[in-house]
Amino acid sequence: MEAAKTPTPKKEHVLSLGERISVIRQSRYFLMVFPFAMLAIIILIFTVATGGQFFRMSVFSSLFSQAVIIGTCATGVSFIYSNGNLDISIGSVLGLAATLGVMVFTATNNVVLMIAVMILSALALMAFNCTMSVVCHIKTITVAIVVTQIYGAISTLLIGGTGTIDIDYNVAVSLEDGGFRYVSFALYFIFCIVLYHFTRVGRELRFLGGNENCAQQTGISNSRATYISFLVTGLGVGLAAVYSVTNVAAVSVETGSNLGMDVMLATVLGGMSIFGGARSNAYAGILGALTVAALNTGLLMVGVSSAWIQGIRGIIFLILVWMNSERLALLPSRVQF
Amino acid sequence: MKKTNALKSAVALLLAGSMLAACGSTGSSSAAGSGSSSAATSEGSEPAAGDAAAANGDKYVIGIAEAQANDEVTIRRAYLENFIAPTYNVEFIFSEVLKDDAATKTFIENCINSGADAIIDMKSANGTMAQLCQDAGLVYTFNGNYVSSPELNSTDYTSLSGCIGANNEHVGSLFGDWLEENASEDGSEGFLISTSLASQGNTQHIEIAKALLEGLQEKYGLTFTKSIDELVASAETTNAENDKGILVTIYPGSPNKDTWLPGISTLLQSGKYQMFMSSGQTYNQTATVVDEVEKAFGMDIKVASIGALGTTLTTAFNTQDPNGNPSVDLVAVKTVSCMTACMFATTYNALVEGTESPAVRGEDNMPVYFTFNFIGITSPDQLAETTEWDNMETGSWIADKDFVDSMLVTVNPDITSADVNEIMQSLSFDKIVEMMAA
Repeated sequence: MEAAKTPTPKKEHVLSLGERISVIRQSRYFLMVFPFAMLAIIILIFTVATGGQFFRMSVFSSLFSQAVIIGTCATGVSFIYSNGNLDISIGSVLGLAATLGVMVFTATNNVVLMIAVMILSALALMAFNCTMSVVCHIKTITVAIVVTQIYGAISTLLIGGTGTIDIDYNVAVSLEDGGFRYVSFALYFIFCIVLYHFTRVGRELRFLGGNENCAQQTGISNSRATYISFLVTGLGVGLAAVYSVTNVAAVSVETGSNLGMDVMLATVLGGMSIFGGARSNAYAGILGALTVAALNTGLLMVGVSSAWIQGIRGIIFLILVWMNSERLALLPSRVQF
Repeated sequence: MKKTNALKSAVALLLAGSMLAACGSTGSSSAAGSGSSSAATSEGSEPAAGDAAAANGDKYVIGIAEAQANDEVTIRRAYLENFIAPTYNVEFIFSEVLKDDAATKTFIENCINSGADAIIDMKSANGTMAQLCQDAGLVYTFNGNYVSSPELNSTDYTSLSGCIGANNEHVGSLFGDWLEENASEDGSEGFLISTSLASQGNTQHIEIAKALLEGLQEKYGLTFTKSIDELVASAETTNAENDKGILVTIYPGSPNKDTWLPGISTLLQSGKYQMFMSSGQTYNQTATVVDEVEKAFGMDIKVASIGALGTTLTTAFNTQDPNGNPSVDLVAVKTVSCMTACMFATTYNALVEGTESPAVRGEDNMPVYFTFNFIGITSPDQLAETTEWDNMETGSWIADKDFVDSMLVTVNPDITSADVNEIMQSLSFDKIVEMMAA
């Protein structure tokens, strides 16, 4: 009788590992913090594993060099992804813009003209892609697939039999190390961040990506937003074309190959869905590109055999993508990647 | 409580990530920071030329930039890791498959960060890589030629040790001689020539394509409407028109591209070609379509190609077509260990004595073109004699310690670059049989 009156101690619910991870992942700040945290952790781990060798300015400079091309493109492409569009043609756009720029440089020996031609070409090509999509009502991904073949063929034709056109190494080095790359990337990045996160344009893009019908009913023009996103991307791809040429002092038929996929990977690793939505951001691409570069460099410096690098990198990517991936219950994004 | 659990989970994840990254270091026997995937030192190995370097505490680290993943690369890696590394006290950092020059540059930068002393570049022979290595004080050796990379021979890259490439004239003659012996008297069988990267300036492919066209010209006394140089440089599929009306088709393009196989298959499936000759390694890719066409048309297509010793080649020679013949008829093979030994020796000599050493540079102090010979294999019996050549499983290498030592300044202080070339040029099928029997 007495025992029956004794209050039963409240049994504490012990969370399983899966539940604990779920708690972390569903925090509203998780997607914002996790990509930065992972990059910091990767740098920390490799710094410790290499006895401090990884934490050197030369290594960070190398990481930036490796990340800047993909990062610049990804920063621009985040505008396209944001309103729910996809474009995998940026590699071929970059290749063709770089080819035209190098040809102009070969003819005129004028660096400024080369840069201008690359940027304007990329802008024009991206505007063409957008026009095909908006005017002809073709999905951007379909346009991208078709124009990738066309731009690639034109580049191959222009470059000719040798498969490569070189530029003067000293010119390339002066552009790469002379501050142009850092200044131009910083300006473009700041421009994108401000436009994306602090203006009406960015809000409209994210709204369109989250719910296109709803956004259009509030008077937002999808066509205008699409043009803006493609032109901002074109600017980034043009700059990346300059970086690409100065990186190896040449343009070749391989320039820009696989860039579309690399940009997607960087975007996802940076914590953004390639299907856009309200939680999209303009910094995910460079963050993801730096993460990829840090992993590649770190694994090699630690001494991982190249035979293992791909496998280990793949596992780490899977973990990062899973941790970064959106939850349907949490976000208004229309599609889970 | 909830926050505490979340914190615990975060720490658990961090530790898991740390373990994952750290587990990679098991691939290396080197100290952290050296960044190499060296092979373990073999026990009981004899003192080698490199032991002097070892005694001085110099363990050279060499980065190997690879462009492909095939038998040749597998053999080269095994040779360097299992034989050269322990015998000469060096370490190697191997790249993944490098798809373009930017990837090569990234790999070299990572090697520099990892403390490498030299780069052997199998992918991007150009001035940018040479300059990058020079700026960082690394010796740079590349596979290729100076024709497609003229700046490497005209610019004073002080860290450039040299270029190792095929003796193209010799490999061209292998194909030319085979054609002379195997083509019919009237040329009615139809000739399909895959020129691979000849249109993009690949010297080896140019030489082979030229040798084949010249062989046809000589055998049938025909005159092509276009010059042979024009035909070889053609970047699109071309019927080489000639006064005898013999069907000769030029098919350019990289066999590594997705579009190559469908294109060549379409031509073969027309049933018009009974001689298929390729300046690249393609016999493995075309084996199925050749077999199908032979069955469909009841014909025997003779196949000549470049190749490398390995399981793929053994399979090709031991697989019979519907007519009871091997699926390939001529394969000009690289002796991978010899070529690799030459690249290693040149790099090593430059590391030990500097690139200005007579063992590295020519008499004019300019970079040298070191060449290696291809060996022609035309029958399963001949191939059977090569069973122990560059055999990864038994560790039987053509370029053994004596061969490598003969090219090193640490063993032969007076050796010159001309001597190294002479050693390489002395290699033939019979010479290698003799070497392997010794």
